[in-house]
Amino acid sequence: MGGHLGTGVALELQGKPGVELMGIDIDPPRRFLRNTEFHRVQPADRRTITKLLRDFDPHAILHLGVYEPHARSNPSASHERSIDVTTAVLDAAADCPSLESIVARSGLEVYGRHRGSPLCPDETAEIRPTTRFGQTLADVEELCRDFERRHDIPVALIRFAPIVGPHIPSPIGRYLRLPIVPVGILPDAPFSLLHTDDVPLFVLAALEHRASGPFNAVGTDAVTGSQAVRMGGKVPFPVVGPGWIVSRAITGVLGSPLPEHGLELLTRGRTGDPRRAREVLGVSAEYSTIDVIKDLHEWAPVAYLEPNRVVA
Amino acid sequence: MAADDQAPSLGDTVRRRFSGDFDVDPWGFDPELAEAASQASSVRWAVDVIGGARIPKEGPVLLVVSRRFGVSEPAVVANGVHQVSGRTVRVAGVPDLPVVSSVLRRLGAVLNNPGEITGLLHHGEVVMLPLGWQPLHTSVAGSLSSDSVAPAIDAGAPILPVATFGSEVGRRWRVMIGEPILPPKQPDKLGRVELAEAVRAGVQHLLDNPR
Repeated sequence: MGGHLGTGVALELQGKPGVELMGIDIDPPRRFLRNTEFHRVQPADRRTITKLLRDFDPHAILHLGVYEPHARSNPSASHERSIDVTTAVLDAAADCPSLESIVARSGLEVYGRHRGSPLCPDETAEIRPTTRFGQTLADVEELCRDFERRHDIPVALIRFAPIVGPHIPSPIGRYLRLPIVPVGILPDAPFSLLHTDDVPLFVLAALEHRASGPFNAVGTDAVTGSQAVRMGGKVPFPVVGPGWIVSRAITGVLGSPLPEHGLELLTRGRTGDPRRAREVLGVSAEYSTIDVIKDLHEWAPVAYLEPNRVVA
Repeated sequence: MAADDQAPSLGDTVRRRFSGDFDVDPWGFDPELAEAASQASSVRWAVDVIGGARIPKEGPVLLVVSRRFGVSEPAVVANGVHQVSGRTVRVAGVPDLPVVSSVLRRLGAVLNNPGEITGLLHHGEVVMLPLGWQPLHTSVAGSLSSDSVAPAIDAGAPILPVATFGSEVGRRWRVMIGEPILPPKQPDKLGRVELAEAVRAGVQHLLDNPR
């Protein structure tokens, strides 16, 4: 609940009659939340997580605590944190007698982009991750599926496209806003994104339907890296092979490190077929990938207020 | 002609592409580039299509096409179908190699992967699937596995057998499109094998009876 995704979902839920919310995260919520109990807990503190969940005895758990490398965590911590939180939450969930469903975060990276794999997979495609983040997501999914099998409680796995939008710490969003952006050699591969504001739609639809199994959550259409860069009036810089080592080092120094799965996105492309979410959950992204990119580039720069300035 | 109907000038097109204002679909297809390539291919090939009315105006369809030497057929069929129906053919079978697959995907090609073909058919596209290669026996329809027809079954898409006649160095080609074959709903393994065989036989019938 401390990240943008958790806060966004909580904001959608907080006004609903009969809904009581309890959140657990490393960081506090990004917005003021009414009628909400929040606890700052470290992912490794399994005992506290278990106690809090058992005492609250929820009807549903929304597990969004999966950490993307270079978003809020460094790559090695993101894997450890994601697995720690997932294990703690599922462990505690097994002892919650009122629990009816779980919705967990996953991502399109779980499919992997090995040679011959579909660029636009649906949920029946084989899971063969090719990046560390993809492997983290595959591990989280496996834990969730084991829980579902053992306890007969439905678990929906929302495979999000890279989530981008104003204010969310997204490595690919940050990267595409650089003035000169290294991209795959032309013609570069297409990819799809999801807007931050669309995340609650998928999570709440899965919750409402007590859904089970994976659902791709993807904005319509696609863009290529160089197209996304040009749309913001920035300069794409085509890179190939070992050139990526140098360009990633430079962008890292400039404050926009490109994680392994981000490099794969730009060089191999990654989209997803959102048909199952539309047919089973009745939900589609409201923002297309083009809209997401436009919103990313139109995001106003931070304005610093002067503390002593009289404004009225 | 109204001003709005006029084709954009080359300058406008270049400006739009330079500012990223163009469409790419989730399989990498770039309609503007594909249209330009289609016009260029019309210069190289003159295609005569028989049975073009069998291409539906909209909705998914799987074209199962005979292969001679195997180089010109995708472009010839795509050109012929576009000519008679205005629809874009998504050719399955692009090799997943750097640069090559990116270029061919922009023109509408995809991998010969059941996941990609099923997705495209659910999206209402025309997908072309080549039969097995028969370079020495051009009048014999190549093989078709039962797994190859699974995407059409999944999407409920009609299958059209297609035969091509022409030579690699020649300009004139003929494309014959046969009667549509509707896949059964949820067939067992034997049903899928029978469907694949019926489609292969449909292509063979066209090869045996050229017009």
